[in-house]
Amino acid sequence: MTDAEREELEQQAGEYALGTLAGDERRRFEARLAADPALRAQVEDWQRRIGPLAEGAPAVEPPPSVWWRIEAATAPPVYGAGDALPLRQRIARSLYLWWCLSFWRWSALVGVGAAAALALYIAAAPVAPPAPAYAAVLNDAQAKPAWLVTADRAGRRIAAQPLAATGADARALELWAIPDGGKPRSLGLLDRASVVARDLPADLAGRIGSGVAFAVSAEPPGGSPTGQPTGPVLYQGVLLAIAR
Amino acid sequence: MRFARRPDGPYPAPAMDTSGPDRLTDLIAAAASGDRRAFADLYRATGAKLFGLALRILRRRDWAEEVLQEAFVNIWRHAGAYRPERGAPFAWLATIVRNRALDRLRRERPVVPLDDAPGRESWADPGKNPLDLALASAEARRLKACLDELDGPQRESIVLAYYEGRTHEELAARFAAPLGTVKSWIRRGLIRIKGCLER
Repeated sequence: MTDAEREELEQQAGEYALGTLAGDERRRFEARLAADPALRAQVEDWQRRIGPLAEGAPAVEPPPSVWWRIEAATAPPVYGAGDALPLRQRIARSLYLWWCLSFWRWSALVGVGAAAALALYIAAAPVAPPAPAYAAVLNDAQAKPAWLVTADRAGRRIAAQPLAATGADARALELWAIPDGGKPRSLGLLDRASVVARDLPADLAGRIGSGVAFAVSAEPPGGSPTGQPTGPVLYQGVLLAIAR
Repeated sequence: MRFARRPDGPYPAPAMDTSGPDRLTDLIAAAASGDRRAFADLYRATGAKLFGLALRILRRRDWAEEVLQEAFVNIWRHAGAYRPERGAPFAWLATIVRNRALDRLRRERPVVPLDDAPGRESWADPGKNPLDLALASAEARRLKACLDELDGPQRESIVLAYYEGRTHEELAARFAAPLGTVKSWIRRGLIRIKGCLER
């Protein structure tokens, strides 16, 4: 490489760091960058030089849902990244999942007495809840599982149940569904002691497979007065498909 | 919103915490070792400023939100790659956000009208150097002094390119100057900044 070529490249490194290279010039430079560690170091030098300009940007508070999504995307997996795990851990996770979902079995069992009585009057068998196809474990700030949210395959109906005692508190717990890139949607208040089932808004049902996040915020009794979370978010997690 | 006031929770305060680059360096190092609380503090300290940076370049809230989200997921995964000798911690974070914003802008550019969006007016004065010395780090103060040494068009084109992600062609249109002239403003300006910072 001649001195002139070297100088040209360093100049381009500066322009690339500044962001003024576009189109073919930018693509050619990036192709070169991928293969040239010395050029990458030059770009980094330029970024170090002009980077402090960022301090001049205005502070604009991002909506809370951005942090929820960051936290959901970086949270330690409870289950869901199972394929990458050794078999033993995968089994342990399956058992945990089964334990979580065994609620449905217990609720069915509890229902047997009532159902038997009911069956004396009607011939129809009690309808068991559909098997959940999606589940989200909502963790607290210490990454401890606190709620299990499950959804049926069509994503029309969700159920939320406590996994651990959440403590007595005058505040109401409100459940929110947060679609990717969207605003939180209220799914109503939770019951600290038992399962609640809710219909998911139709437009969310269609996106059930694309990583809807759930969060629980503390709200005044009766729920958020604004239609958006107003209190701290206590629990959150992302809905994942349950492998069959 | 009351999120900002939750004492133990990771919700953003509206402004950047300028209590010092050392604190940001420590938070990045702690996040690299898997400390989620430090990561949340890092977001709280820098998220609003970085969101402002992305918003300024993209001029669309939905894109800026996505860019901020992707950038912080990246920061969590690559916090271990940060070395203080590679620059001030905030500049490092900003580079990650800005690169993502520029990628997005270059990808979406054909559908974005370049007409000035609302909210730009306080930034539109190209002669204005937006670095606020009262809040700036030592690196930023040095850079500001070097920018002040540049000729007007050199400084203005570099500042606009940085904060608005403008390309050579767009800057040429904006200044109603030939493309080659704008390129040389930027090149000479960058060379002089480098020389000034090395003095």
